[in-house]
Amino acid sequence: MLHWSPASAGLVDELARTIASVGVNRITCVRDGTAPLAVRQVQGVEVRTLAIDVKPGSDAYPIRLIDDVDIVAARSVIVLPRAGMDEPDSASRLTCAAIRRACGDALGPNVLVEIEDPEAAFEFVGLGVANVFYPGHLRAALLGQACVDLGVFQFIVGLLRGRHHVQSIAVPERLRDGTFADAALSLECDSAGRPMTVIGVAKGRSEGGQPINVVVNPGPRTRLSECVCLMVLVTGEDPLEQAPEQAPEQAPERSNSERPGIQVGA
Amino acid sequence: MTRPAKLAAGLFALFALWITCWLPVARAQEPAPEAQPDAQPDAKPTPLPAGTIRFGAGSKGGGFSQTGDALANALEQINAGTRIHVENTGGSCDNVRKLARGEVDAALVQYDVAAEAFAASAVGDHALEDGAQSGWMCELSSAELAGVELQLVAAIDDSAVHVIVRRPVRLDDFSSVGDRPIFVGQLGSGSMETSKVILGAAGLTLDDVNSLPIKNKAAMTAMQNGELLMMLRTTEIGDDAISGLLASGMAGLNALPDSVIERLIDGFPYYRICQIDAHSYPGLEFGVPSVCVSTVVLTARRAGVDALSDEQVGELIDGLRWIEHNPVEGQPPVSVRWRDFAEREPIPLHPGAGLTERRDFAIYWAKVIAALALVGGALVLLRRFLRRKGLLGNPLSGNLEGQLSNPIVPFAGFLLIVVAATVVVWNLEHDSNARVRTLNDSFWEMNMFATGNFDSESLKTSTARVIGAAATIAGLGLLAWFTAALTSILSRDQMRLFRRMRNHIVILNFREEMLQLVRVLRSPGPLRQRSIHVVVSDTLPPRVRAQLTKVRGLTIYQQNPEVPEDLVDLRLPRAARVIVLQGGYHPLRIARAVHHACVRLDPAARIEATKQQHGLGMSPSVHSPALAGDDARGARATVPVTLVEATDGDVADGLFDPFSRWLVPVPARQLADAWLANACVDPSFGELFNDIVSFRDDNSELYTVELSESFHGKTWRELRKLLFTAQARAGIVPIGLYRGHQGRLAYDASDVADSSPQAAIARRLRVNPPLETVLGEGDRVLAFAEDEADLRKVLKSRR
Repeated sequence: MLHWSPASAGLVDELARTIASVGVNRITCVRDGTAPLAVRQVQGVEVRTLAIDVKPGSDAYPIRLIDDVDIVAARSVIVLPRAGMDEPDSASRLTCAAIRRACGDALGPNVLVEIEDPEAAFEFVGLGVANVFYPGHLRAALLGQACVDLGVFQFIVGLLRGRHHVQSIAVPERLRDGTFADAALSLECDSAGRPMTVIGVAKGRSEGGQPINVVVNPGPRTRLSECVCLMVLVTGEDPLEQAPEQAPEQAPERSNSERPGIQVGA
Repeated sequence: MTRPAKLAAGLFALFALWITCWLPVARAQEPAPEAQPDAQPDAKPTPLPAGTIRFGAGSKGGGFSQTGDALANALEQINAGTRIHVENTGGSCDNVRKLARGEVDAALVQYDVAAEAFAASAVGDHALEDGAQSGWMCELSSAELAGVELQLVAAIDDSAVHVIVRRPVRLDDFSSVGDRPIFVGQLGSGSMETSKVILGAAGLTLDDVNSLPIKNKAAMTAMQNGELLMMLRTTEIGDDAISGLLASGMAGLNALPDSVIERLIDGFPYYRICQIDAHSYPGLEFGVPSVCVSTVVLTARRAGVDALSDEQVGELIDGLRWIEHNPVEGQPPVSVRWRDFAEREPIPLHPGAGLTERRDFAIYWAKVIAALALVGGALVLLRRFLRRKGLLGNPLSGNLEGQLSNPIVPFAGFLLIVVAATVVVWNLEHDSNARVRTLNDSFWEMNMFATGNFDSESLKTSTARVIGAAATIAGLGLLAWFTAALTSILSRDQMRLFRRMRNHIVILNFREEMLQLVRVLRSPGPLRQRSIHVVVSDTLPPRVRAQLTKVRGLTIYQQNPEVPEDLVDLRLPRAARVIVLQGGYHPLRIARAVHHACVRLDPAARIEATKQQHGLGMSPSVHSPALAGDDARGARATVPVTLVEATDGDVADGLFDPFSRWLVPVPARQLADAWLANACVDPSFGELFNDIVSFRDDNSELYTVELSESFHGKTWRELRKLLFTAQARAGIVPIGLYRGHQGRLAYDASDVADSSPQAAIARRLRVNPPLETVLGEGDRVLAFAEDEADLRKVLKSRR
């Protein structure tokens, strides 16, 4: 997490809870300025806090990212708005550019940027950012859903809180010539025997093999031959944690080293 | 001048006066030696009793003679002092000549002949040279009419020109008749004179056609035998002989071409345009345009002396009226008129007829005024009665603005304009304009005018055109008014819809960052039509306020949301949802104010509190997770479901716990962190989540819909199969159930006595339930669908 501050302590807790289930065990929080390296444990995850005292726009910043946090090897990077700045999104853009320079020709981590001005999202095009997140949009969506239907609101909260998961699974060979309805009716349970629901399909893959162009509820007659994988909804503990090598036909794809392009979060 | 000369002049003047006054009377009282019927040239003149009117009719046994006989009988019936002596003549032409010569005192004449004679007499005494022909009808010459002024007693009936054509021939142009035999009338009859004029209007003379010189009866026989191509008969509509001919199928009625009618009326305005109505004859299914000419009773003023006195004319009119009321079988009905029987009526009324006309006019309008007075009086009494009974409101309570915005007013005005213009234009032109022959024609013509399609060629007279133009202008204005009133009503309804205080959404403590929330609420979806009421503080930047004002159906209030009294106007108990945001005021204090405004200050709550001492009610929408506010129609005052944008600490500290029965804290920052954490481990999560929570036209959203009774007892697997295979706009993807409790309500208040509605909702929501789960009463399906209606439709069709 770059430009981290103690105000984002809640994010650390949430992240620790989430990544613990997928086998990641370290979070590095990078502050601006100077501070000594601190290490602590949160929900079984090692959380390191350090500081970089150079500006993101400087030439030294990419070097510090490589030297201090080994940014190229990171699984994901969250760029938070710099506190106390008039234009934090502009600083975030410089930080993303520094990450890009630090990675060079390497694929690099999955980069997420939280912005304060939704109109700034398009400034991150071409900087290798997978998701641009505007929290105001999320708040509006949540309150809007709560206005419509409290049951649906509860489901969405459950989805965020990890009570439900959406995973991708390969299209079983026997269903390759079938339709979405065939898959939805024949795939009733996951490898652990728990009910699951096929909710959509992905029609493409990113360079890293990550499913993109996901369509939820594509229609019962959608040909599976046109899809690269199925998206399924699973409830309860992450099945990968329970039985990572098993899935209905094939283990869910959990590669996360792709860059699906700019995505305004929520 | 000397005295003897003056005396001589005086005596001469007295003698002249005596001659002038006495001579016509003497002539009227004594039958003239020339007044012998043509049919009885050798009959010895019979002296007539004094006061007997010599009445010129027609050929023996003809229609005119029968009318004359009927009039004679009528005079006897009414015991009139006047008697008539019906004299057989050669018809209209002969009658005019006899009137001119003083051989009859009154006569029946076809009006076109009479008007032509009047026109000829007006020319003056122009003697024709030897061998020269007269061009007037009946070859009347101005010399033989010199000093004669024809006078009208009354018009009594109408005759229509019948164009009878051998079936199946249809004639659009008389010139196509060629040399084929036709019949245009009996020589010397008015009918033949009319035919000549009609042929003339078609650009033909009698010499251009092969007209057979036969009698009417022979002509009918010839047509019956197929020997004639066409007949022109001027007779009353419904003539028995023509009926018989048409019934035989040998001949049909042909319309008089419009061009002929137009030219005829232009040149000879003594006719009027009329229509032989449908079903007047056997097999006649449509009205046939034609021209009509009236039969009139004429008298004459010769050398300044009236042939008939006023009293005699009055008694003749009385006799005619008696026939009008006692029609003679086998004879055309009589209708006594003085005006409006021809396009133009140049012949003046006899003074006696004028007196009767004026008297009738006065009586008619006296009756109308009396009737109006009676109706008015009755209405006043009715109004007084209704007001006494309280059934009629105070007219002063209405206002002009209300009337102006009522679309019925301009619509009624439009109808009034059209109807008035219809009647006036028809009255002005139905005799002369083929396009407004009937009231029906006139109505549709005026409809065109009033809707803006003014056509100066449609009307002939300047007066009618002025009325048409006025109808157009007024009609357009009224239509514009009507449209504006309707638009006003619709927009007002729209405004009312968006400003309504029922099932509305209230946002308290609004701040700039939450413009996104307003956009979400106005995106395609179930909330799009809900009215939004936003309470802002005075610190809200003007540019944000300006943006809010552009949102459809959004009302802005600048109030302090922490003051309960300020919230009363928002009718919170009826709201679908109340959203409390973080901002200048503290959400907890706002929540207290909401509670206070609902249970203490709301008028319904106060009334309810006086009736029964119940505890705090809950909004019915809390019971059901469905679209908020749909069930908020209970009589009891309730606190609406209130969503509070809470911080992590608020939730952890249990800040809102006292309000847990109706307040749902939404820890937005915490959930945002969860979003980031999920997106960290799965880059596609953001795209997927966005797809799920956004209301767009091109994606599916999540809805819950109650399952009908037909699904009860079925398993979740069966329901999945039904929905997965359904093809709606897109498809349906069921992902879970919301378990019901005792029917429609999700839970009872007792169920959450030790919990909260939110906890109950989370507990009852079953995503991916076991496949053999049996569906029960009150269960709702949670599914992805293009829209809620789509899901309902599929569930209904799959029962």
